[in-house]
Amino acid sequence: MERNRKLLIAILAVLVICAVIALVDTSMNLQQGRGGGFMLPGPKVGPGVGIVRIEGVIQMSAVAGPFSSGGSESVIRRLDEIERSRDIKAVVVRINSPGGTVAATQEIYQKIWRLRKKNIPIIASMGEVAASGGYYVASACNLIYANQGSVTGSIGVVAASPNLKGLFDKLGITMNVIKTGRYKDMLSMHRDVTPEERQIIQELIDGSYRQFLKDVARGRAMNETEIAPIADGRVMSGQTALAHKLIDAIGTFEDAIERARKEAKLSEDAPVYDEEKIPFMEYLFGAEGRFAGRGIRADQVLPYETGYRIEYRWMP
Amino acid sequence: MILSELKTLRWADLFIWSLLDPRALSRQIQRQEPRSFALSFMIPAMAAIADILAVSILSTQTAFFYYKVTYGWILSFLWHAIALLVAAVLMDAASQFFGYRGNAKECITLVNFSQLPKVFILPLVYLFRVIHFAPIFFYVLFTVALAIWSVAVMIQGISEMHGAGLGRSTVIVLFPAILLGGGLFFILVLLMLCGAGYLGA
Repeated sequence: MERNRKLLIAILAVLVICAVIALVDTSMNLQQGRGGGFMLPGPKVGPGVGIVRIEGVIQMSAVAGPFSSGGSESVIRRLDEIERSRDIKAVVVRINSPGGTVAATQEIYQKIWRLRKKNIPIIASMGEVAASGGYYVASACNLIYANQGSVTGSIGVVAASPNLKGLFDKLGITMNVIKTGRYKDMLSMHRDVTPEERQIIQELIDGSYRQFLKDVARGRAMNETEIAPIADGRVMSGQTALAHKLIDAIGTFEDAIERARKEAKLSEDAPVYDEEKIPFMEYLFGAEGRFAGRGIRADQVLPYETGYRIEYRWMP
Repeated sequence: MILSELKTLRWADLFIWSLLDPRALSRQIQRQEPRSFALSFMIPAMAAIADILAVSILSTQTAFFYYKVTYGWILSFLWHAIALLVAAVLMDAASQFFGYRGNAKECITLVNFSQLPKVFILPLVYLFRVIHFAPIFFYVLFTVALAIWSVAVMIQGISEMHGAGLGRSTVIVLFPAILLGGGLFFILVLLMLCGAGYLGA
């Protein structure tokens, strides 16, 4: 029995030593900033950087999926959240978009500009593509970061509609159009565009283009005359955009976050408040509308419904 | 007096029997030589710190670690102690339901001592962490294995305490889990029904 007792004492001693070693080991790892294995995500508190993501074609409202929210309205909602938040002291706008409709792009631009006027540092970070409307939105930010290979630029406006007149003639299809004014069916797909109509559309897109140029010049603190020579719709890499002063620096998303922290005088480990990845409730409550249109692909319906759009969009 | 009692090392027998002979442990608790009720609460305290450290060595730590091993340890110990207390009282109630003599104090002591195998989670996991061989997998594996060992100690201890068969003592030991599990399941079903009603309305 005495032997068993001594054995037990030895086991307890080993346990105590093991506990002490674990304690010291963990403390040393902590002090030296080392670590291994998994890390549970902790709650984020205190002043930090907010992330806004602009993905895909910019349009007023897009259908939200289970893992993504859609449309410029959701971007504006996110910017509103940021504006109200007491913890978010700087913003990184992550853009991965070829642009989109004029009005939706301008709404986002104006919203970012309003935040900028409130002295919240806003940094744009370009992903694969931030062209046309994507660049328009970026220009509202204080600073723009792009990767060397990011596709950007494409400053310009485009309006396109299909002309199916030849096909209609071939098939013997005619359209009965009753209209109140001569331009009411402008850009109809069953007939050619008249020179007058072309002129009207051209004036429309010229106006949008001038606004584009004006807003980019304002955002970049440049003269319109400096931007005009390269504002011919051309796309360019991040490196070329830097040479033309369309962006401020070559850098990654992490670089942009770091810069945002610096601009807002935040600590190096200030939390990053990314937007919710799974807007589940939005998806759940938007389910009825989605199921009602199941089987119909949006890309099949929209061009026919809308006829044509005027877009700040790069369309390769 | 406490010192002289400690020097006799009679208390060590309780620990040994917790691991090797649960029936002898049960007899010793009933004889109350040495008195073991207060001492038994040392085991949940040891198990709590072992578990906290085992989880900590597996993961990347922040400054929260220092709070975890101090305040967190006390919190974890209290939580375990209260949970074990409730479980032991429910086991005692189940024993009385089967017609055995009730003795909550002895049952609590036995349940506390039965937690001793769980203390070994720390050295076992540490070993696999040092050799970098699936430490998280082995943490889960050993947690389950040591829990089963604890339950086995309880079943044999209860069997000896009441002179009951292993089947009956298994039912007594599992009674709290069945009762609480059933309650939680019922709550979950009600919550799901309410949630579906809210979304559907």
